Amino acid sequence: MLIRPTAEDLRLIGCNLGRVLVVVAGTGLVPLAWALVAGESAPAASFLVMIGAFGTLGFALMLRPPHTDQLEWSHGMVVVGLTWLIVPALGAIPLVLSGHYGSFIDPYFDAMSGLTTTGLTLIQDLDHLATSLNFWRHLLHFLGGQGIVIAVLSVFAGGGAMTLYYGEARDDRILPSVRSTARFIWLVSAVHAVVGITALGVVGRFVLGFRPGRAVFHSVTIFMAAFDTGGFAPQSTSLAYYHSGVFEAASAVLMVAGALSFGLHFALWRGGRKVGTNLEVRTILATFLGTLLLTMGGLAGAGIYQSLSGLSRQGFFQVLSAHTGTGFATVPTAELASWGGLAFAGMAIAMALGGMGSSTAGGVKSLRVGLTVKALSAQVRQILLPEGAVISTRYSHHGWRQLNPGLVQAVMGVSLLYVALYLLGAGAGLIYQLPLQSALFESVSAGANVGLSVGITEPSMPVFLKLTYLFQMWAGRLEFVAVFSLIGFMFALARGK
Amino acid sequence: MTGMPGASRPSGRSTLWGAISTLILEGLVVAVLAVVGTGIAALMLLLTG
Amino acid sequence: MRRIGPALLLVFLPALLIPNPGWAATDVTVSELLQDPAAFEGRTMSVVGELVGDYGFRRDGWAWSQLNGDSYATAPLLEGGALSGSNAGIGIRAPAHVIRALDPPGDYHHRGPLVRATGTWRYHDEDRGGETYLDVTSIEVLRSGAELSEGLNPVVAGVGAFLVVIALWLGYRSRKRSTG
Repeated sequence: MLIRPTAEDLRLIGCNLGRVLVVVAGTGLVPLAWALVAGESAPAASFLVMIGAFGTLGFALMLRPPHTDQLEWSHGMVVVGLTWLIVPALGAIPLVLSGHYGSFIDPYFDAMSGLTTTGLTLIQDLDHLATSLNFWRHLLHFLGGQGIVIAVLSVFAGGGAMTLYYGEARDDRILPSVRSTARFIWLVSAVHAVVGITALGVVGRFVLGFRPGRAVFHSVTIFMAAFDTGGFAPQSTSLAYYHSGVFEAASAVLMVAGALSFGLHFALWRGGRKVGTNLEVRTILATFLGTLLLTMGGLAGAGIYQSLSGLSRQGFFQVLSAHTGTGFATVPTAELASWGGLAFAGMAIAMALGGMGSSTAGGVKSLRVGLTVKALSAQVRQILLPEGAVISTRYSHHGWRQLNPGLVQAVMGVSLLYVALYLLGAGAGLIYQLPLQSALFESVSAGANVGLSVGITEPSMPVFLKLTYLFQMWAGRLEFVAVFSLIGFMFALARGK
Repeated sequence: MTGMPGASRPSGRSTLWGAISTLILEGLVVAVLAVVGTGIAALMLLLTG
Repeated sequence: MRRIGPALLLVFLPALLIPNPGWAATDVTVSELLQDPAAFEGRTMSVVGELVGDYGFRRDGWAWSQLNGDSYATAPLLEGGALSGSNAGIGIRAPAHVIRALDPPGDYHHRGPLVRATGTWRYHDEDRGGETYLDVTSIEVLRSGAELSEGLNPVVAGVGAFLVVIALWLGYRSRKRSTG
């Protein structure tokens, strides 16, 4: 029997949701200031509308505060699920007003893609978009990647804050308190921002020869898209725009940093002596080299790249982009669509597996892949050993741990849900007679929050397909739990007793 | 999925050194992977003629 | 009378984006290049489009930019052009002195120069780590660039200011309630 949520439940959810929206309203001041400095008055006005909308809704929800500040698990999940639906809706306001979108759903799609650090886009004439709006698209990556809730936790962190933290698909509580964990995540991001923006800016100015202001613009936007494994780019030709191996290398370092879990960042900052035995590290190295082998084998076999310099640079960057869940491309969409056979398999598997847990990357995640392989090998060993023999399996993840059936079940459950999510999008593509390979590629790209495209995601695509990819981006980013909690909550609200 | 028992806040000096060494390590990882990638590419071109 | 010139240009310029074998055998469009880049490998051709983004002047004497062959090249949104999908662009490399003489590239504040770039199509260039681009030797300006401006919509600004005032008032009310 479902229990209908009480008025106190609604106040708790509303008040916490309101806090998130107010913090996002404050964030909107940054692109507003950018627009004013850049002399972009029309976008500035649209940011004012957005800030006002976030602030009005946020403070209105906070008007009736709850009697207690103790968030229960279900409350936290519902807040997170709603946050990730409402923020893109209001965050899309400046995009709607820009005139660069053909329908209302397209800017929502882009804002969701930005927030979930996917990178698929439906914008039209990106190359003439105002820089402040372009900055806002990339700031959505940063907001979503660092976690809106993380931002709120570093400010408020009331009782039961942990449920919000888990709701955003973060598993590693690095430091004893949630607030100190949230602040450590911001510290890591700030250090990478300073170094990353400087490095990209120096390359932009002195290697690529951009004007100083433009070098800053490119470095800030590319930093946010790379470190948050997002995939938006300020120009329509993605990273191919820069025609520079040095720029790609600098971005690659940030993409790798973004795909590392914050738990691993913490371990590395403290010396990282036991990192070599970490199951997650070993798994991601193995799957990266495996998918690189497949993709390069496919590209060489098909004769797509005949020179060593071309195959190594283009193959390496594309696989890295896919595996870290970034979605930057240095080859045009139509060309990527022609990568068949092993190259397609390598890219699709890399995207599907994704980066590490508790990072900004999407996909199944390396720890789950590693644990699944461990569990399967334990089962095989069990079968081969005499009946009654007891085997125990350990794995290293910031200390040695025992593999227990409950954990294996949870890991396999979520992994299976990802497979189902990928198949859902592919099935939706097949309804519109898309080739299976393309439908699967684009679906995995959306569900694993990657952003590479073989050309299906475009403004003229069917609305149902847009909605399917929207759902995939949302569910894939939140790793399902918050999504199911929200659906259950809505059901209880309507049918509970 | 997992927590991190016994973790403590890094001190000021170790935080700075930790940040620098992590950034260097990230750069090295990409460099090593790129070299391995070039090796794989060479092998694949050799195998496929 | 003065207005007829630009109007005629707007009517006929899109025709330049469509290849016309009888008129100029080497003309290729950007969309053709993007659709099958391998087919044009090593061929000398002319491509018409708008230069957008940046002019990157490098130390080796080359300059890089992006050439867009989409409808926005001739009819930008801020000049009343209609939405017609994503941009379609290719990379170009040209001697720095060729680029230096041009108007600023297209962006939010500018309509970039519409040019006919002539050069060789480099597909998966071995010397540049497999990059694909047009290696330009000469550029003919078909229409010079211009400044674009988007006027401030007073209704949008008014609604924004109103919402911010409401938000601040609600913020004051909610703060008063939680402290009171």
